[in-house]
Amino acid sequence: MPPAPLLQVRELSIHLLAERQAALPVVSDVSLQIMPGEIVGLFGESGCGKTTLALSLIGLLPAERFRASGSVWLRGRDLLSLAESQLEPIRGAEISVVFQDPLLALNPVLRVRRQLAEAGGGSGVAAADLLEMVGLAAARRILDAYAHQLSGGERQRVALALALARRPALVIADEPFTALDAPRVIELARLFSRLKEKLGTAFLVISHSPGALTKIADQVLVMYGGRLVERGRPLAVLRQPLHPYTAALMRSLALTAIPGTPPGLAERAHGCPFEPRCADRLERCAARMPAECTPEEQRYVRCFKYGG
Amino acid sequence: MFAASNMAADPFFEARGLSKSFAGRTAVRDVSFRLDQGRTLALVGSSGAGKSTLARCLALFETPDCGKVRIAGRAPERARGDIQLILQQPAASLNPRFTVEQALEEPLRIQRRGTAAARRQSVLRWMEIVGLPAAAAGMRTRALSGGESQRLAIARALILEPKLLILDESLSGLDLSVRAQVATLLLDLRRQRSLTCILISHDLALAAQLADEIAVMDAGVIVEQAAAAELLAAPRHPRSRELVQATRELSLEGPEA
Repeated sequence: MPPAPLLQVRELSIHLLAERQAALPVVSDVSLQIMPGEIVGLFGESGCGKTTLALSLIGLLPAERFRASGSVWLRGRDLLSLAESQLEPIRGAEISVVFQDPLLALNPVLRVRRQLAEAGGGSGVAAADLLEMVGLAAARRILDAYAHQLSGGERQRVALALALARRPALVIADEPFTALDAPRVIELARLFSRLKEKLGTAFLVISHSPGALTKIADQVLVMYGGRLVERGRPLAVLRQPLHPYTAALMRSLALTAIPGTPPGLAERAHGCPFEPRCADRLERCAARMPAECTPEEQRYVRCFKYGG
Repeated sequence: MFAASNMAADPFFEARGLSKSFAGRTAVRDVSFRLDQGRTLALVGSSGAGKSTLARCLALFETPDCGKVRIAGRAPERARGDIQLILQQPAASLNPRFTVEQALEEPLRIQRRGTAAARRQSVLRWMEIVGLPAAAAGMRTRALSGGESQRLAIARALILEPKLLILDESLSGLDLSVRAQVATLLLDLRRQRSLTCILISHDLALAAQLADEIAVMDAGVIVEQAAAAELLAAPRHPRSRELVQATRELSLEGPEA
């Protein structure tokens, strides 16, 4: 029997509640799973629902503004059915998040040492060991520093150490590679791989850097217009994309632009969100979103070109 | 060290011996380079290498401690708008309550250029050039998307017909597909208007697509400058080699990871 997934998301849809109008779909019918110790890359452009999806996994979307349906199973519990008081002990201990801007995650008036101790909650790993884990050697200087005294790279690693303090099974990293030059991207990618090997931590890495994802990810998910359009092994998905959106996105790396703009939340209809911009569109594409099909082993795509 | 294309007596743009320190910390040290008209130079390097400080010195937003900048044979003047700088987040430098038309007319008005009617003509023409629909003229700038803001920023910089355009990580924050659109616009503008550009980026892959020449910065110094193809094929300085090697490793064309 294959090992049980760590996290299983089934038919997750998230709506943004709007005043005096119908709720707007931000994430539509997304299913995915993350195995223990697996690195999953979530690839897509702004507004495609990546961050909303990630935040919903730890109940960080304000309930008065968002409505979620479907299920998010973590070790036998459906996180969507839990109350805030039941979610609170899960955050940090079982799932944690590293946000894009580490300055937002760090407390400006506490030394790093104190923040690491607080994040560990007493039961955690020693602060110096946490820093070593994220590859920060000069532990003494960093432990005594305030956030503003650290370089950008050091801050990012301290934020990662905070996220790891209680040894969660899953860490969600939102755009960790943005603004890094290529050598720093490779360093950080190696660090993620090392942490996965050493601690068995699973990572959900949100990124629009295809090169970094091929370095670290076991699986890549491609999102567009709130939908998961393609998933599979990173090199296969990003080098020989099946979905027309993934293919167009990879061509834009070579400066061939995709005509048109992504659909706004209010413009999302029942069909494939990429249909208005797709060169391969068929008549039925606007009517409904095709089901996921498997044209090759370990490759999954939602496009009528392949069935569905 | 400098494999510059043109060592003739009068380069179009020249920076000579620029240095800038802040509170005793050197950000830019003795930087010199030349650039011919119609060419694009990319300044690459990691954050903290001094790229943005250099850009601000070149754009006269910052007074260098020493060194000189000359363009078309004389010292550039900020008041004339000779050199325009576009930042990473153009929305931050736009008045959110201005309409697109007001934002675009503002630099002309400040410079007292043309009559109101001539300015309006110019605004509409530049909106068309950068691909902003005429219907957007009355929109507030805060309602623009990232790509549209960047197009507006480019139009706003070029409407003054500067001699040099500097882009400081202007394409970095954009999504891949939007970045492709804005990059294509820049390439077209350069071809049609023989625009001289300095592109500042941490992304060597992008720099290689847009620039004729590449200068690698490290710790405030330009450690190597060469034609783009040459630098990618045979980087000499260890810092350039590291950058080229890592960029190649991240490219999807490479061998199996």
